[in-house]
Amino acid sequence: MGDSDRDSGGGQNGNNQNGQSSLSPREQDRFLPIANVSRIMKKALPANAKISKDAKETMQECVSEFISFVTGEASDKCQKEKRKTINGDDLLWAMTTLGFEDYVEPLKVYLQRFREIEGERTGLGRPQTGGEVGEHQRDAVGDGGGFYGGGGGMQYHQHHQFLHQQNHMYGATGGGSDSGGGAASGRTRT
Amino acid sequence: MRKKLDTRFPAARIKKIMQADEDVGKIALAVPVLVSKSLELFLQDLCDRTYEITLERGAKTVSSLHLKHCVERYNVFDFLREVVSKVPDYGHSQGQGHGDVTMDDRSISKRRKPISDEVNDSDEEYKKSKTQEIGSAKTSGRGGRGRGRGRGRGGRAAKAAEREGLNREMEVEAANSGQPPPEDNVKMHASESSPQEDEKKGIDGTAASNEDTKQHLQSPKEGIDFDLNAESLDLNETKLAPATGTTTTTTAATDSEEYSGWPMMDISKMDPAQLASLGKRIDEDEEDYDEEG
Repeated sequence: MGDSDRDSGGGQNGNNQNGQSSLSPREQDRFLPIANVSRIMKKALPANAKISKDAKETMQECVSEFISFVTGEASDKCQKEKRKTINGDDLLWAMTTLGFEDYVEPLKVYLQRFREIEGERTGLGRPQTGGEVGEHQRDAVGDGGGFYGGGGGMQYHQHHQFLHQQNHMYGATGGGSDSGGGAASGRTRT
Repeated sequence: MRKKLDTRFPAARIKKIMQADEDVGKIALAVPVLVSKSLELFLQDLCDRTYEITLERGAKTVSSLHLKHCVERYNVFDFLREVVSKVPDYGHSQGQGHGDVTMDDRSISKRRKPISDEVNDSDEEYKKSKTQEIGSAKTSGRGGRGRGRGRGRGGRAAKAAEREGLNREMEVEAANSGQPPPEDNVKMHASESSPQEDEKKGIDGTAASNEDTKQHLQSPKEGIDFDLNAESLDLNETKLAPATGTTTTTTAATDSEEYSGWPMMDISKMDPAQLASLGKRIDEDEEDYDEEG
């Protein structure tokens, strides 16, 4: 329910900006709401600083590009390790690899808080699960399937522990067989 | 619950952006929240550095041109060059010989970077390879996005600029892959070849894919000249990609691809330990193929 409300709000902001900035609706879906981006920009800059509309729009694109950039790196790591679900640690690893190591410590603290709060709640998984359709890779039976079917907090923790174990196991294998040809073959199958 | 964590960006939208890349599968529950927080850090980082440039220019309003200069100045933001390349006033403010060049010593070589400079800066190369990879993925997996963006802002000129940028980066990577690779370079090479092969397979079918696979597998023991030749093939096929408009993947092509890859691997690596590793990998590949089938 909370998610739905937030999404609606985001959509409205997007629509407003779309009218003013002549972004196509299709393109707008690829960006985060410009109002959120703008608010954080203002927070980051001195109080007397002004921000042009084109700077906000370009920053909006930069934010989406950052997500795609980090996601691509994390996704590659998962594929090499034969995992199908990107987890928080993959994301932190990707940021370190891509030159954003300064972000990792604050994010670890944040992730720890999230996990503590997550342990207290139930049912968050359902909205996420509802959004997944189609792609054979996403439907494949794997380590993530059981969790999304359940949606409970306890299952989430078990799921996460499993990911850690798997990560460790495949890490060793990956080190031993890290070769261009193998990775190329892996990508070809996708 | 969200308010406790002070999340500022909608998780569902973040997830949609992440999964716009077809290679991205399931995403753990904590990830969109983590991305949301990282975006705050990223935005603050980018705004701080952009504002430095705003002040240097004696301006009071932060503009997209200042953001563009910020991206060009700091290596860590190289992956954003494609995004900011659409910002206008490029020719007017950054022509050769203008005073701006002193502020942006990299602007002259923005589109035609000398290979020697790239080779000397391995950290930058590594990031660029990631940019290239993501660019390639976008070319094959998100044609809609690219077209939409082009129509909205710069049209064909913008797309041409993107293609040129990608081609240059690919040239640089070809030169790199000819050298004796440290571990990072091996990984870089491995991750780079995959999207290229996906792209080629879609364009030219099985035969070309097999040929390119062999060339890539041979590249570690060939000189730079050979890699440049391979790269020229890549360039041609990259140029073809926009014209076709669609990328098709077939099971038969995938199967042929896998089959043709392994003999070359056996030939090129005679070390028993590596042969054992290859054996394991073959088993793993077979299992994965069965799952997909």
